[in-house]
Amino acid sequence: MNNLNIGIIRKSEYVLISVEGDLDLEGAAELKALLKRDFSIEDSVPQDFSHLVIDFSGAGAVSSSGIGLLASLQRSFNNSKKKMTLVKIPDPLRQSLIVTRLIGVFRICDDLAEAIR
Amino acid sequence: MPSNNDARKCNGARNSGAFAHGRILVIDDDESILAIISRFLSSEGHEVICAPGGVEAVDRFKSEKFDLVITDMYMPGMDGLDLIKKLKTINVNIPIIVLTAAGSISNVVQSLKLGAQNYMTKPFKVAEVSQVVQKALKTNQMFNFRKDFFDASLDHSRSVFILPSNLEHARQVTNFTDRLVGVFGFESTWMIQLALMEAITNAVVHGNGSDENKKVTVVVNFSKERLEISVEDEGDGFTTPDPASLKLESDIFAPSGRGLFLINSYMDELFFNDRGSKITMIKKR
Repeated sequence: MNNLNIGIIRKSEYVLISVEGDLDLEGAAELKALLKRDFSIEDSVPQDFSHLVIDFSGAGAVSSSGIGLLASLQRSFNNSKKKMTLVKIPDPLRQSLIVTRLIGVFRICDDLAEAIR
Repeated sequence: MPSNNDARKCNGARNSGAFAHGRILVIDDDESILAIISRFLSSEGHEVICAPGGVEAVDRFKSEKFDLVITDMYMPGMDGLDLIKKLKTINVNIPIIVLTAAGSISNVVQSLKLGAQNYMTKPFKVAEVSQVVQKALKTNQMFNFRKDFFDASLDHSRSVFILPSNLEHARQVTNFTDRLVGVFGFESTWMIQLALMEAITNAVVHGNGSDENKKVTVVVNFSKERLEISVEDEGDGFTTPDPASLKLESDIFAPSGRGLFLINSYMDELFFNDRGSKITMIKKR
């Protein structure tokens, strides 16, 4: 049993996913499955999907599995020319993105208002 | 009245006695709240430092020692939850009290999950402030007493876990180790916790193929100088990489292949047994 809770807010301009708890192997698998089931996001992103915003303000540890999911999601969004934004990432995740040279790959915002602009 | 430009000292008094006194960092963007709290706590003999926002508070917290933090939840820029996370990254043991508006129970729950010790709902009575602050300071005193005791008396500790291949058990081990990391005064606790989580996940999923009949043995050795953790699975083993030449996948968007790289980045030393079924990680103090 993992400790991840995922909140979803659907707006016409964006979908906000709030991640609360650890994005570890099981958490990443759960988030991946949810994105596939509810939004058909997998290797590509549907044409009618506008913008995915992932809010990390309630997130705990993000392991390599969580980072791997974010990286592969970003590839899908790039391939489909769609927008994905990470909001309020915790300092340890920021450091892991720097270490894994992924920090420049993502659109990262410090607050939600900026993210959904 | 506190300045909007920087964190500053409001009062320097510090007494001794049964009543616990401490150095308290108070953060609120509302100057009137800041003034009321600082005036009251100063009158009780605490040393109070005020900050009008999270950024100023973090700057101050990085370079000074505090016994307690009291922070508003809703502030422009860095909010209370962000601030708690940043402060806990710097000092996981600092007690934090959250000030919140009535009806904001979800944020209170989230702040407690992030490690806040208690909360007060606005508008609050000064008697309540005194009571909550006393409780937090006395808990902190007890923690420091224990820490001093362990620093002086505990030479080393060895814990051995034999786990089924199940990630929930792995979480219990990382939580246990996290507490010992604090007892032995290691910094960068999240790095150690992440490295341990990665190593156990590798052992459970890749080493043992998530077969719950196969065990994962985790040995955690703490001493004053270093932490050594080994994680061994019962699988067939792997061709082990040379830690000195560990590289990231050429495909930057690859969904996997970063676990060992992160362990190697966050721990000071890393080595494997010949069979490739055991990883040993060392973090020096």
